[in-house]
Amino acid sequence: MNSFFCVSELNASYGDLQVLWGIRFEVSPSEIVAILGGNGAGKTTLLRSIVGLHRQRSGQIQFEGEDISLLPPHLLIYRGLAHVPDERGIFPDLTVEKNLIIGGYSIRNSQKAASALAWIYQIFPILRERKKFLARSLSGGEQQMLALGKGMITRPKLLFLDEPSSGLSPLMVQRLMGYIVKIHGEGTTVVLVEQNVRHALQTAHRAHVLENGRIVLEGQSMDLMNDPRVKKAYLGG
Amino acid sequence: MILLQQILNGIVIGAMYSVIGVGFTLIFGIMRILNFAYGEFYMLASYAAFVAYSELHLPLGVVLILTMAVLFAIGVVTEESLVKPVRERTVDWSVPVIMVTLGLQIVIQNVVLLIAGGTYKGVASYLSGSLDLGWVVISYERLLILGVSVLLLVATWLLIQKTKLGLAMLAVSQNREGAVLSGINLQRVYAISFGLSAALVAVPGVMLMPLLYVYPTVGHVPIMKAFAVTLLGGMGSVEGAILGGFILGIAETLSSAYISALMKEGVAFAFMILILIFYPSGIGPYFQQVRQKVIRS
Repeated sequence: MNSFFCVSELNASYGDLQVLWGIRFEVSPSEIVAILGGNGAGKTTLLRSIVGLHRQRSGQIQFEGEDISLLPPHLLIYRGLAHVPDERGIFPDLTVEKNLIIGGYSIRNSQKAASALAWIYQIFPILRERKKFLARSLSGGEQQMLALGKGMITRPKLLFLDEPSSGLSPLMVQRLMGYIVKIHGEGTTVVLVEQNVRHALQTAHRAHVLENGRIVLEGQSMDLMNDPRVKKAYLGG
Repeated sequence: MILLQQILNGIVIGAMYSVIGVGFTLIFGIMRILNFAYGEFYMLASYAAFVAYSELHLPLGVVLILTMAVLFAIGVVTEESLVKPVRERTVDWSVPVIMVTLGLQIVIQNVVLLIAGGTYKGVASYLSGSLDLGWVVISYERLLILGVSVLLLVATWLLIQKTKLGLAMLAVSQNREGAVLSGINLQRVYAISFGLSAALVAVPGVMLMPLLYVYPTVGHVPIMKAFAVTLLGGMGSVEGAILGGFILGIAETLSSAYISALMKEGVAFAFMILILIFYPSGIGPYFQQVRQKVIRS
């Protein structure tokens, strides 16, 4: 087993309550993989367990052939692994630019950091326009752009996105998915956790369906979209 | 001219209050805790200054730098040895950590009482003479206090706004997980912040020693000021603490000159309550709003 990214036998609990049961999945380089499921399925806990923000867990998490489950979470970004959490991970009382600069904190060379900032502004022109604004004053969609920009500024090899579409208008979700494809085109592998099954399946190549803390279904997005169980449970018949 | 003189005196003492407030608010902003042993850091600095200046006869500049270095180390060690173990054992560590600092306050006081005794110690003054500008008079010592404070406040502001460490501190103060995910080592930021906070309050500890003397419980004076200044400025706001310090200093001096010296603290704290009624989260956040409006317009 020497894949790009692979999780095996991952269990996670809150106190006595076990919420993830023997999760296993793999991600190949330059894929977009979706993890789908309803409220309380364990999607957020899964990502938090992978990046080490949730510590009460067991199992193997391997990235580029190395077990990263014991690594302190602040070191992951130096390995090329970034995570955009469900509350977006931004700094509300700092300006957009300061947010992005902090996003690039792990870039040691200041020249590289400056060009990374310029690159993010090129992908998300709205962030350049808003660079002097406090993050809290942005609209929900703009905040999500900022969260994506902050997550992307280090050009991670693997990016985890925790429900980026939440709280956004349908039009904004459409644009967001476009940005995710664009990010992927820049050479980043994406693991997308979503409740918005239709959009996620349109964006991702493969998907896993999480129910009550277990992966119950997996396959190519195309196949899942036509799967009667998925249709019935998530796509409204 | 008396009014002008009083305002000047208020600015000088207010500058010290600002430094006291900034050190206190720094820890609140970054760790969301109140450090009840803060006054004891001041007290230790005062004793260190007393020994270094009056018994070892070191020059004031050396005393100041040495005391700051020692207090920085004490702050870091306090975080690493007493606060960190509590933080690592629970997720909701704010209240337990506050209780640890409260306990530490009493322990330090008692240990110092045992070693140094309860008598007041002090030096007459670091500098003599004064500068007469005709309309106001300012002693060289007060001028020195003002200069050192302003230098320190500017240095702290630059550290926070212009350095990578400051960037990490700002990030942690707003969103811990967001900071971790950006590659910031929380433990390092907490330890350094504790050290910086202690090093900041070391300066008033040295500079105010001739005025307040030093004894095991002298820490209650600065910690009360720290509370007032921090609440006035808005918890966690460095700019607010700087402003709050000057407001408190001027309010105290004016009320002692025009009302009664006995009522000095009473009036100043009544004034603080009054401001909080109108600006419940302090004046710092209000000024931030104004600044944003200026930027956008």
